[in-house]
Amino acid sequence: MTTAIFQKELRGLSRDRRALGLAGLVGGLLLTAFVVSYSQWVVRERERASLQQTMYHKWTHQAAKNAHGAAHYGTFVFTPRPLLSFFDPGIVSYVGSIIRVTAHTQNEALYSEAGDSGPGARFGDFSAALVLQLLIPLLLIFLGFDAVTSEKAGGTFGLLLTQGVSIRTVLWQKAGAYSAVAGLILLSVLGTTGMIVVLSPDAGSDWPLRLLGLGVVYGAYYGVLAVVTVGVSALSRNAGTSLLTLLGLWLLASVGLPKLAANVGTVLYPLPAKQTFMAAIDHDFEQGINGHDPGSERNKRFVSQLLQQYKVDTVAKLPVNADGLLMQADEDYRAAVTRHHFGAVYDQIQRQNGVSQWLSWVDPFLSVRELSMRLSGTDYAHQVELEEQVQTYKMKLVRRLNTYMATHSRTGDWTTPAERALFTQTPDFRYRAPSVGWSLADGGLVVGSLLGWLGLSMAWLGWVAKRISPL
Amino acid sequence: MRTIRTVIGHDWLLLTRNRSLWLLTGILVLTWAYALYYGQAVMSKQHDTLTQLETLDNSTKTAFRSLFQRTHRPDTIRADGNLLTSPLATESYLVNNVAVNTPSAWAALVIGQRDVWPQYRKVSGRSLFFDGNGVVLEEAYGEIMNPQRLVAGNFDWAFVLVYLLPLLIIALGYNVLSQESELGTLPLLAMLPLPVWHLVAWRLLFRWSLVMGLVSVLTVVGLCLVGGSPIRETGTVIGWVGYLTLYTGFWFGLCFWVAARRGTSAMNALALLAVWVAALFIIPALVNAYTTLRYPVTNRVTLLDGLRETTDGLWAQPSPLTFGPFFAEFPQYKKTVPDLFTDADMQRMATNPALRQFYAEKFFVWHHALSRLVSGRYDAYAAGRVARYRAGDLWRWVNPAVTMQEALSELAGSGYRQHEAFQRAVSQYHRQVMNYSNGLTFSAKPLTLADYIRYPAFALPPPSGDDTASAARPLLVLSALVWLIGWLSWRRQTNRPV
Repeated sequence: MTTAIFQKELRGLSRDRRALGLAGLVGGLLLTAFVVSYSQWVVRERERASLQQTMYHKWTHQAAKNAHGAAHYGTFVFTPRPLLSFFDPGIVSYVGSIIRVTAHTQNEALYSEAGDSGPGARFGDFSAALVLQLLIPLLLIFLGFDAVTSEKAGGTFGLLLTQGVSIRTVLWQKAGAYSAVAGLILLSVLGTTGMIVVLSPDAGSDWPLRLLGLGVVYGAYYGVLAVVTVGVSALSRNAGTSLLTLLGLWLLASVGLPKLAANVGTVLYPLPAKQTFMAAIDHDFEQGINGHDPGSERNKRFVSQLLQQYKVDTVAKLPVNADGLLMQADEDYRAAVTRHHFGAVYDQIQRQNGVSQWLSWVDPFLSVRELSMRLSGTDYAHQVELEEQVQTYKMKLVRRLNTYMATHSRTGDWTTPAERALFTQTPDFRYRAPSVGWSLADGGLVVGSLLGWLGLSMAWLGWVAKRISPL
Repeated sequence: MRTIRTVIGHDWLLLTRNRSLWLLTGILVLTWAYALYYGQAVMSKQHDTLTQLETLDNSTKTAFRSLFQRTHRPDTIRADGNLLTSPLATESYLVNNVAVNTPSAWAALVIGQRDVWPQYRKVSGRSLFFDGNGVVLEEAYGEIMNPQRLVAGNFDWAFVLVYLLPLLIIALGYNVLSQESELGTLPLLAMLPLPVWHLVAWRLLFRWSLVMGLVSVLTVVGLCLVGGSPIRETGTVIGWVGYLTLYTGFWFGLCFWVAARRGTSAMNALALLAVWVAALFIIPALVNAYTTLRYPVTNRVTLLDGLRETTDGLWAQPSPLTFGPFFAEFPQYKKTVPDLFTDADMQRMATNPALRQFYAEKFFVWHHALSRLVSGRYDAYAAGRVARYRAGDLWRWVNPAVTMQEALSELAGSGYRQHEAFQRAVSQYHRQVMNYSNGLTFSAKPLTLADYIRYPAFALPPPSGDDTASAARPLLVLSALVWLIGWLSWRRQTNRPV
């Protein structure tokens, strides 16, 4: 089959000053996006690394104190931003950046960028993903809204068909040409992203797979858009109607439905008020061991069991510090309570996000946004994973301190300072970024919807080709 | 005048016969209805949460007072081990005491950042940075939110006005002249006894008034539906309509300017949409990037670390280090205090009734010391945050959409100025409560019911007019500027054939 129409379309675009101007504008915006968002990432990460180092130094050089006292003193974890957040920041501006690590409580990540900003923050972050998700589709619309209407208006559509080319071929090759333009931009974006990643520290090993995934996702999306643009142009009576229809669809898909989907999720699966949530946790805390309430019946039973276990009749004869073990029992109990309550909130938020995932069968933009965040490591699941890793780190740290207290002092001794090595040999927190497979696991719904959209839009273009008249 | 009436009459006919415009107007009304429903749902939840907190606070205080009255035994010992007449019992009285930033009815029309910022703060005689669970800053009082929903944003009436209304204006104005050229009717219009640019200007002014009429009515009806009163809040209604006039004026001015360039309808639409994309997505995102790079809130870490370091071992500080500065600030309470701070001292204070008074004093002085020791860091942190909030103000002159959003937010009490005012009011209220608690504690007399009832109550001052009007000038200048440039463009081509 000849590709003459495909080539002619590309040649036409390369000679069209309007197209070149728009492409130049998009190119300039992409360049700006990379410079701005990568600078933000570098500044933020430098600051985070420096603060983390300072706090770790403070921990290892803290004043002499009892091991459990050190657990109360605690430390801070500054949440790292995934490297690819410069490509797609996802939710990073809306989640906390500092987690307090201390005994007895599971602290959530607090202090988000958005919380420190005025209403303008809600207009979004400037990034390559913003350009790829919102502006490239507009570019495709501006380039292709008159792909068929201009041929019809100029009388060249009929001429094309008299050359023995089918309507189907004309539409396919035009859609192919617009896809190629978008593909070219996409390749240059991913190429630039790849270069930045290679030159950055801690790039990880699976970034090529992530970039490949992003290429497939955005490529499929642009395929759908090119096909829909050409199809709408073919069905429209004139260029104005075609442009209005496509812009309406863009607005609905890129601005209206994403808000609507998120809002519906909130209404269907409401979250508890913070006060109620904290009260429920406090209530459950009161049902278990409280290490700092020595007179409670539960604590007495715990100590009594210890006496039986070590076959002694008084705590003074215990070879361990019962207070240290009591503190650890308190920690384990509280961790189980908070895991239960925080887990319920995580699940509810995932249900809210599930509404957007189901609606991606209506709006492919939702698939692209979700998959782009997952592949960049900036979706909600990654945030939960990060907070769980911090919680695991905290549990290990506090267990180490309580165990030290239990094994290096006698019951009632809250003052003997721990050896310095206990603090200096504490490992610092290190975030282990999940693999790309983990990021995409349970993403079948959104992957399926994007592929479904690609298949259905292609089938639809075939139907359009049969339906329109040559004149 | 008669010609102008004819032009407007003809324009009315054109508009009423355009089915696409009816469709767009219908969509606007539908989005208005949904935006009202959504805004009301979000604000109702917030309102309920705040009401529950206030109810809990009231019931705690009522139960406390009734215990005081019922027993006629003010020396009754509470579950926490304190006598009702003991200064430390005031902490039980204030355990649920809250200062709340209650949303107005307008907040349902523009949620702003109210879903991100904390809307209440617990206040007692303790330091504002230390509650029963340890070190705390105001962010800890923020509600649990789904960050992916925050990214998507709120579909409130302000969103419709700021994002979608310009599209309706573009649809109304992109072909105000080009359509005549394309239909071949422009030469006929040129025969009218008024310049073409007058014709375009009158048409756009007429359409502007239609749009303003529609959105003003929708706003007022919406306000009534969400429980507000346009009569009681006439000033806010006037402010709202004023801002809308300026913002819609900016977009109609752009249409006037673009029409002067005499392009095709498609080119006009493209140019206007490019401005829309720039104004709604690109410029705000760039300004956000500037803000985060220029104003990092690193001094919060300094504050948090300072709080940790200060609280670590502060209780065990010898009395002169904590009581000394306290007596310097409150000389009326000055007296000789024992130097009790070791663990053994703590045991004695907790069990020896004679020392419990000193224990209460040490408790409040500890909190005073904590606030005092970190006040410098807190001030630096607060100043940094205010600078960050205000960073966007520098760019108002090129950022009409965000300026409009902020203007509506300030009018509705959902803006950062209102939030700052709330934070200032909380700090002030906290000082009142702390001073009052200190007075009760150091008076060393058994507390009476009247002492409890006289505890200061929180009141949020109304927003100042300067705050709500601050965005008017940039919007006015932007709006006037595009009309002026449009007029100059028309002037340059007065001799151009139609």
